[in-house]
Amino acid sequence: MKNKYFILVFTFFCLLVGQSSYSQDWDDFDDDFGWDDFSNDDSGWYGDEDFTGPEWNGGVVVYNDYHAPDYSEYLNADLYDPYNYGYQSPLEEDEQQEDPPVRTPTTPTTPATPDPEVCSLVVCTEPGATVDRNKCECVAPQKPWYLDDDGDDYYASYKFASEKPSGNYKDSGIGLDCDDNDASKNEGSECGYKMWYLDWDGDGYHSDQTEELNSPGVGWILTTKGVDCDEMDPDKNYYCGDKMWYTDNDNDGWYADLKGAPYNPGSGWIEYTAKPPKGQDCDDTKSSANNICAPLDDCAEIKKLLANQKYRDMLAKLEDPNTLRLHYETGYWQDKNGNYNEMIANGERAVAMPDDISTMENFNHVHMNDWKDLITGELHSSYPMPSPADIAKLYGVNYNSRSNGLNLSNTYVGNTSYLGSFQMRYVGSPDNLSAVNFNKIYDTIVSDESEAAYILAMEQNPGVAGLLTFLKDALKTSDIALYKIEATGASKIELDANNKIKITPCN
Amino acid sequence: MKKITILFILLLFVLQSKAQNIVAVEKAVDYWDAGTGIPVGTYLKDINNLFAPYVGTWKGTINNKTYTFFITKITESSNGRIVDKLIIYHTIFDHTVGYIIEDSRIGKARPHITGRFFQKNLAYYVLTYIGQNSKCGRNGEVFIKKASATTMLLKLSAYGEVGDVRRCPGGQKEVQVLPTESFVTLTKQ
Repeated sequence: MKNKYFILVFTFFCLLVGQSSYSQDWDDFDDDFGWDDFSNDDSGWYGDEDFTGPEWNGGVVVYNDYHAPDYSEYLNADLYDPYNYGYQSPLEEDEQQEDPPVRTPTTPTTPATPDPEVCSLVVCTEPGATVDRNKCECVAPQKPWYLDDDGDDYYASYKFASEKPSGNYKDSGIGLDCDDNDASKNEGSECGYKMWYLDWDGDGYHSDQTEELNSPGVGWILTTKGVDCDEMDPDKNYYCGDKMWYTDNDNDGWYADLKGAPYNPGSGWIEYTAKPPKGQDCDDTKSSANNICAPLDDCAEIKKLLANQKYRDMLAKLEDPNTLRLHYETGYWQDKNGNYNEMIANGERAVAMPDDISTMENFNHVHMNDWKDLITGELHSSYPMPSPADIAKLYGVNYNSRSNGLNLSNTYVGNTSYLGSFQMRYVGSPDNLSAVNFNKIYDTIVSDESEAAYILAMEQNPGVAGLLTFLKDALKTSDIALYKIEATGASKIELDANNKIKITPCN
Repeated sequence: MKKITILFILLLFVLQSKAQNIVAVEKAVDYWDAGTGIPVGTYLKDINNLFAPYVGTWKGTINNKTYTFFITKITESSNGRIVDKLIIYHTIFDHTVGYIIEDSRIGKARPHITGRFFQKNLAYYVLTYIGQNSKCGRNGEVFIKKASATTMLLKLSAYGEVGDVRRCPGGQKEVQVLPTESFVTLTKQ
């Protein structure tokens, strides 16, 4: 009997001690943080839940902290160490002796009745709220309210107020409305305007275009095959000079070469209008109705590069510690003739792309080391792995190579940092590089939301894992393969089914 | 049986104790320096109340532009990490043109400036800037530093990274609107 009581008391004691061992201010938050999610995490480095990017609202607790101790004198650490020679601020000295005590702030309260004595202690718990000293009460923060009379989520105007103004105001809006009395007219629907094309000769090609609400008149159509070079002759449209001819060696309807000539240039050439091709072939040696090409052997291509002295010399320059120590990015882009052309910073820290990229097959560039301004003491940092803009450029160089008939197997984006040299290569469907899809994907990758998700991923892991997580969970793409490049060979780096890093050396 | 029960309870206690690791927020830079990122289960907490002096509304003028920064402390939870950080909403009034040229509070309201870490000597708090139309070059690092109880300094170190300049307005990189050459002195409102 006594033993039972002992176990009961001991259990209670253990749970009590276990609970208090959190040293956690439970008043600050409830389980919005998702502890359940990661306490169940068995992946070792991140949870299984979908990566949703920064949670500016959901899952975030915001509170003001007006009455916290003033550590501002410690923040002016330059007073103690103006040139950052290593002199420690008082706070750092304290830290060496003992970890800072864990504070448990009390739950702020607001007095029920104004009292000048108590009012000086008022803390407002609502985000952005301020104290009205006269009334000794918290005043809700002002926020923008958007007037949306037609209910299409686009707003006619906005005003700042603590409470929702009367009328059709909402607490969010997509953008300015071009007609707030008509839900079908907004920026998303081009305000009801359509593009009209003039096609007098009825061959489906246009000679003029205009954006109007309704048809401008006879001969105007809503779709076009392209610009008409002779609007009076339905037999002449896309080309008015010599006849166009193309080759299609694998006979899949996708052309390999295209040229104009008054007569058939020779064997294997097909007259364009007699049998219009579907587009340019990604591989004219293998027939594919949908122009799907077998994936390139990236490892074999990288092996060829590593055997190329010009490539090795270029990479050695980027990997030079002195290059990594520069305060701005440097790099090289390679043209279709194999020449490496120097890239320089664009006046700030990022490297600039050349004005004309029509002959560019790839580029390699540096993300430099962190550096400290010896005068101001500012620590300037750079993300070591490719940025969203670099990822967008990978799509760009592939789109460019495909459009300009360049060598796709030599098309990639290289990145060198203190973590080493990497190559990103496009392994996705050619369909993603059609003009329409490319524009959509490009805009998604460089959107502000994507940039914010990237920064969060880098905060959690600035290395390979962070980049791969960003690609998988934020961009949700499998179009990109990542390779680590070393003098001895390359390795493919990817996430496995359990989100663990998997490294596969190229043979 | 009694021993097994006690062992089981002790095991529960140990597992519960290991569920999270509270680290002072000023140690965030150590994770950055190590290149490891913030481990899962870490709470980077403002246990020394370093953010308090920054929280509030700050205003200052430089280069014919008046800046207003609304600084708030948030606690952000993502992928098994919890991080206390500062976020900044802001407006920039350009006296040359006579209107606000950047306002992170309207439209798809989002903070353009988000906290990363304190430098080791606590001289600066470093934040990431993703400005309006960031894909055209308005991006970089913002440094803030308390100058006195009521004044603060702020400056942008611009990355100026551009996705494809041909897709930017006028085919040009955006001009930075935060001060880059010198600090703007801000006064607490």
